[in-house]
Amino acid sequence: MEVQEHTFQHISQEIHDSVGQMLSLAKLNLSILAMEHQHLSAVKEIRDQVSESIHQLRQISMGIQGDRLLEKGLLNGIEFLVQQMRKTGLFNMQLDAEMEWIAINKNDSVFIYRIFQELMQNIIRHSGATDISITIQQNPEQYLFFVRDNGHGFSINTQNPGNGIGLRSMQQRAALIGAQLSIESKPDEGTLVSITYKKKSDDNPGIS
Amino acid sequence: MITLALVDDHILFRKSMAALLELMGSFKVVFQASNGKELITYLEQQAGPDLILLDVSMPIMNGPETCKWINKHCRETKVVALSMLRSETVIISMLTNGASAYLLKDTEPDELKRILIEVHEKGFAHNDMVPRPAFRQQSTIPIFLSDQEKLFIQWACTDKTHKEIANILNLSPRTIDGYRDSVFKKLQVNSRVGIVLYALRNGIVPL
Repeated sequence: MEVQEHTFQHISQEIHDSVGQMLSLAKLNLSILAMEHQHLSAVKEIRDQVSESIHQLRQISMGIQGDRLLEKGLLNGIEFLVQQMRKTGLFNMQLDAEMEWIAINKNDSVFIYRIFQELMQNIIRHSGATDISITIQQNPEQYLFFVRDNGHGFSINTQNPGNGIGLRSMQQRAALIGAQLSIESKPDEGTLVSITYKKKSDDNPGIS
Repeated sequence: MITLALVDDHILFRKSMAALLELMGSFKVVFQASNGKELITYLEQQAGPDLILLDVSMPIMNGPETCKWINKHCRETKVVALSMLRSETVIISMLTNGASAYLLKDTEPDELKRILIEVHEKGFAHNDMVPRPAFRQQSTIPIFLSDQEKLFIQWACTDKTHKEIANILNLSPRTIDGYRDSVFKKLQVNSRVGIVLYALRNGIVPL
């Protein structure tokens, strides 16, 4: 398992480094061409396409990194997301977990991780928040996840329909693993998302 | 004209980069090398250029080692790291070995030009990889750090992960996270790179 993970990490790194390097070279040469022939708008377009390819390659390799971290437990994955958010420099991130290990089976961990990714994307796109705090608690039956932001919030009833779909899909995803997701928000009062996960018998009790 | 040397084992990339820089009109590429060792052989005989654009991963002599040598022997020459890698520990190892800025290889030409000129004029430059820290503006207000926080800062300037630091200091990872959060708050930074910049500029770790 360890070896497999290492190999996978290695391959994804190789792809990023070698293909990324070649794409960067192509972009550099297109930049030169664009400077020499400023009237050729097609060159600039191709350059932007290559630029976008580099960007997507990077996103994929970062996504793989996150998923790999998830192998070492949900908390590791969430910590990675928090770091990514911090790096943007746009948010004060606070993560309070009262445990060192979240004993949730792998399949469900992926679901919760995806919900967290979606939540972070929503906060980046819509909230205008500066502070995000994530709290993780547990009792004998449940895990409780809270994501609070200080953004401009929204009224649950009058939210625009586009927004609603994203929230509903997160709730559906949560329901698939028997978890409940609830949202509290008011205009100008930020948003609180709570996820309640009922512990199951096949949840991993310790470090794999 | 700002004089430049390029060091990169990817020869095609290096040649294209040289062509782009020459086209910009503000730079003259005076030397190219495929690794640190070739550069050092050159610098032992010639006066250093204004700037050196230095790749990170190279055979024979890599970026951090080369950067350290330049910083020691050619104080007038500024180093700008140029790499595919975005890893925090890689950025940190270049900064603590004396690099003035850190650029990704797919940086837009305008941004590349801005960074090089800024490093030449001011000795450092900021971008997404090395964001401008907030503590510069409020340097008149002293920042009080506990001994534990200072110790954590020193370890944050190494290539150790948080888990490794916790092991070395015989503390739980949660305790280390606590130090990190309080240091983040006090220094008003939000990344480990920010902590390293503070440490370098305030002499907490020597350059």
